[in-house]
Parts: sequence; structure tokens; C-alpha cells
Amino acid sequence: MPDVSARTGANGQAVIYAGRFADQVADADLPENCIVLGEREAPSCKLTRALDRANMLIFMDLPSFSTETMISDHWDVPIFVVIPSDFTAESLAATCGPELFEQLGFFDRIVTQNSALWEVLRQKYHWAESQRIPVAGNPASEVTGTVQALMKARPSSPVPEENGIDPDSYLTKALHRVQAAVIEPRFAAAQEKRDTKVPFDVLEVGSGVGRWASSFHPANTRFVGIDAREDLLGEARANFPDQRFDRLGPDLLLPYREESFDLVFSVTVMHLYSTSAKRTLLSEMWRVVRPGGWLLLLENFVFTGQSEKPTIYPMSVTEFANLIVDTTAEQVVLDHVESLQYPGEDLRRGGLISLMRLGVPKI
Amino acid sequence: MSRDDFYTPTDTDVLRMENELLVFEVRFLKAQLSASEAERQRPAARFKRQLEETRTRLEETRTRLEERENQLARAKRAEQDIVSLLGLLANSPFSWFFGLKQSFRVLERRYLDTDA
Repeated sequence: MPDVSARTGANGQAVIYAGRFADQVADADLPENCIVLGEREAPSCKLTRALDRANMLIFMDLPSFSTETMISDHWDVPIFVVIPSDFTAESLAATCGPELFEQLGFFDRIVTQNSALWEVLRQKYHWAESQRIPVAGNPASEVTGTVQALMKARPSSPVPEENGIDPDSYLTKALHRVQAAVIEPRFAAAQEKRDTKVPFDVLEVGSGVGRWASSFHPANTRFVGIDAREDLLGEARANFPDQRFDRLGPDLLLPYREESFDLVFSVTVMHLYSTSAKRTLLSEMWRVVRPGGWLLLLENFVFTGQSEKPTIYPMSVTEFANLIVDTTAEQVVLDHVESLQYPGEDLRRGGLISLMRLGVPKI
Repeated sequence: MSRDDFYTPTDTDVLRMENELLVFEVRFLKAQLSASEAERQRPAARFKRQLEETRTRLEETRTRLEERENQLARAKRAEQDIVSLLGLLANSPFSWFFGLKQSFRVLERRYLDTDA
């Protein structure tokens, strides 16, 4: 299990891999808990030790850094990548694509002044608009300004607190990666069983700022997110302009025809609702999924009582399973169950339940 | 515990909920394991049946082959007997008498390879 305490609170540090610009960055007015590494430190133990304590990782000089130094745990740290301005999208994709860009997700940030380059890379790697940090001038030449912009961006990044997720950027990304490791294979499994010529219709209930939208390729998926909070919907629409995000009304009735989606899922949403509201949501989710389609429910089933949020309705997995059986009239098959342990926690709190809807599709 | 009100779970509640989660997962995994074992056994049983059928067919073929070999051996023995008998008759003092018979001459040509 990763040592979370080494990264959080006063122990954590921002690691800036400045490469060739190390001298310039060292002159910048940086906060105390920053460590700047140059090109000479790239393949060293010093870099590994720094990564072990990092709660933020900034790549200033991409061409001189190799991601081979990074082990799985290091990818939990929010990464800020400064895109060199003298590279084309094609050359960047060829040199950094599989090793770095494909590993970056919703909680990482891309620093670039070049909007056209950003747009090409955003579409290629399904990045959200909020992942871009625009900088004035050439990021490489104006190193000091870039670093200061990143430090300024740090407290507000990466997302507002939602659905009980800790706003601490390191823990948020680490938690998301734990959830993604469990739920994304289920997304892929559901998609594999469909005809690839027909678009895959996906609905996320409680989509928040849309962090799961990037898990689906817009070319073969029609993603729809629905959420009760207008402010989060605004951010989701800004993040993913090509995707659709709708408002969930107070009656919790989904504004879609029955049997409209191949996959309907929610991630840590149900605990925000009372049992009767959970019942409504579950039965609505079951109604809109097609027979043979999938219902994925990733929830927390263990509550430690440490949350200060006033509206949490804990429900154990047994009670939740009984509720599913009731609301779906037993017309589902249990396909997969998996518990989750979040970084730095002793208990296994989360659980994924994957269900397939039974029945004959209406034509 | 009320399901519709917010409450602060006690340590016992927390452990109970984690226990339920783990029991639920284990139940699912056990069910999946026995299902996959059944799946594995299904083709195994089919292969076993197929193997038995093939073995039976092989036995039948072997039996038929032995019967053919026996028949062939018997036919060869009969041919040898005919050859010996014809040889005896052809070399006996009454050979002139048998030589008058056309059927004997045919048999001589057939089995003793003579032009007589």
C-alpha cells in the first residue's frame, strides 16, 4: 500500500523537473516545499526519493525526462506537463504519447500557450478543457512566469469537492485511480459485447464535473451525464463540449425513454440520497438501460463518520443489494462484485456492483 | 440503525458494514468459482464421452480387422489344401482319368499353374 502520509500535509512536496531550465527555475520565487531537479538528476536516486514524497509533479523540460523512473504509485500524483512550443502535435504524440500522454487523466494538467496544439492533443487523448493551463508567451523561455502560474493554479486544482471526494489534489487523483482500476475494465467489458458499428450509449447518473467522460471515446460512444447541481453541470459542459450533460430534477426521474442506454452507471452518488430516493434512482436507472445492457454501481458501503457533510445516508452492501432486487423486480443478473481499498485506508470501503438487465428488447 | 437519517456510525457499525461488504464479495467469488469449475467440467465430460466413443469405435475396428485376418488365413489354408489335393490327384496313377475331365484341367490351370 502506498505511504500516503509521506505525500500529504507538511510532508508532501512539489517536485519540479526543470531539466535544462533548472538554473532559471531555481531563481524563481518558489514556495518552501518545492524541490527543483535538473537534467543531471533525471536518472538518479535523488529523483526517485523526490517522487516518493511528491504531491505535485511538474515536467518543465519534457524532452529530457524519461517516465521509466516512475513506478505505479508515482502516477497517483497530479502531473503538470509543460508542452514545448517548438514541437508539433504529431511529434509530441510520437515521442510522449504512449509513455506519458496516454497516462494523463482528468486530474493532470497541460501547460501550453498554443491553442491549436492543445485542441489536437485534447481530442486525441480525450482531455478535459479544464486540464489546460494557458500561459502567456513561450513556457520554456518564460520559465519563472510559468512556474508561478502553476503554483497559483495549485490550490484551486483540480476539481471542486464533489461526491465526498477529498479536495486534496493528490488524494483525489489517487482515489480516482483506484476507482478507475476497477470500473474501467467493466466499461471495456460492456463495450466488447456490443456491435462495434452501433454507437455505445452511456449514461452517468451524478456526473459531477464529468471526470468519467474521458474514459469513453467520443468516436464510438454517445456519453450523457446527468446531475442535480447546475454549477457542476456548467463545469462538465465546459470540460467536455462534445458530450451532453443534462439536469436531474428534484423528482429524480431520468428524462429519457426506457431502454435508451447500453450502460448506465453511477460513482459514489447513492449515499447522498435517502432510501426512498435511492429506490427511485435505481428503478429509473434500470428503466433506461436496455435489456442485455449493464448497470454499474460503484458506491461506498462503509462510512467512518468522519465526514462533515450533513447529508449522507449510509447503507450497507446487503441493504443495497436488497434494494436492487426490489427495484428491478429481480430482472438483473449479478455480473461482478469487487471491493475497493482507497489509498492510506485500512478498511475496504468501496464496492463495485455490476449487473446485467434481463428481458427482451422492445423494437 | 435508521436507514433514512444521517447518523455517525460507531466503530461496530463500521466493522459490520466492512464485514458485510467482504462477505458479499466472497459469496460472489465462490459462486463465480463454482460456475467456472462447472464450465470447465462441462467440456471435460464431453471430451471424456467423446474419448470413450472413439475407444469403442477403435475396439470395433480392431475386432473387424482380426476377423478379416482370420478369414484371410482360412482362405489361404483352403487354397493350400486345394493345391495339395490337386497335386496328389495330378501325380496319382489315375491322373490320365482326371485329365479327361475339363473341370479338373481348369482347376489345374488355376491352382497348379500348368498348361495341361
